[in-house]
Amino acid sequence: MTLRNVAQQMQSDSVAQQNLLRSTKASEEDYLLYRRKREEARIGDALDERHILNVVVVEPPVAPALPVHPLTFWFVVGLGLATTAGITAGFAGEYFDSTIRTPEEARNVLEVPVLAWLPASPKPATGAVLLRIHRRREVIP
Amino acid sequence: MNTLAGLLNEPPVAIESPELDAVREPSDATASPADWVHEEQIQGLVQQLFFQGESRVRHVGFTGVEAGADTAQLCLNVATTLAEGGAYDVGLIDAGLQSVPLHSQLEIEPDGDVDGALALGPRLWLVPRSNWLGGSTTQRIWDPSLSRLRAATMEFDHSVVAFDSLSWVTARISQICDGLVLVLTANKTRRLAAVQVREQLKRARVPVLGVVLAERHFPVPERLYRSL
Repeated sequence: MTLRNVAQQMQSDSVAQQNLLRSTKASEEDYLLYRRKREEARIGDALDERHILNVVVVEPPVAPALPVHPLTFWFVVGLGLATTAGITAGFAGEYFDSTIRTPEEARNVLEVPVLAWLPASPKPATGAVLLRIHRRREVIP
Repeated sequence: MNTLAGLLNEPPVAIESPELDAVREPSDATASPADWVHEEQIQGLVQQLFFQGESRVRHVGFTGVEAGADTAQLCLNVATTLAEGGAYDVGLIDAGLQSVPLHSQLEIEPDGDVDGALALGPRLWLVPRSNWLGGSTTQRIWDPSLSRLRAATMEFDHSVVAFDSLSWVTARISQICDGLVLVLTANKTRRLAAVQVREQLKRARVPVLGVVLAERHFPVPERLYRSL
């Protein structure tokens, strides 16, 4: 074998060596990556088993420049809630009130006829009541 | 003290009621809807109570279920409405024992003997409790007192007996009447209390002729009602 041939052979081997070195390095990086991923997965599994939240702040919160919902929205929501609460309170008050309020209730509860119901009004003066008789007597002696 | 038998034969004691001269009956234009309803209901009550049905009722007692129920004014209105017709002698009888005397509640000032019957109007008298109570006390009612009270009711064509709120004493005295009318206060008298009173009267064999629901409130204000 001549020297030229030896040199060509060595050059060719050198290229093969470089390829092998790159391949080795790539395999090593892959191996390390896989190992890191595997370790992360193992840690994740261990945290899940112990119910430990594994969270990471991806992006810190920023206060928005404008409100999410306008004031009108909250006004309508508040009005709706107040109306619902008022109606509920009214019905609850009616339901739990144990007093007699209407002639029908009195009739149903006591099972006797309701002869009259009298509106709440200022007490009339006795003189005014008695005057009716006296006036009647004047008209019909 | 006058005996009851001779009481009504005596000339009635004149009364002085300051309102009688001073107060004028409200005209229809100024009377409120509540006044109209009130008068209409009283007339209906008198009609149903005294003039309907086969067995005519002559002597009726009024008692409140709630302590402090104002039966005095109701009794006066019923007696007045009965007497307005001019066809019957009507007695308004004070049978309350615990409360203020009826004539004081009605702000009627008798001129002279308070034991005598007070003439409130033509064919309408008020019999104070002192007239029939005699030796009885507010805790113990003797039979002679009951007899006098019964005789007092019988002196009239119709008598309206004003009782205190219901108690065992009231239940006993009310035996002299043809029946009782229970006065309920709207939004105040509880259903359970009313039922218990009804049962007590049933056990005491006191007929309940009906109920009156007083002090009823309406959700529509009067000013708005007038504009409708």
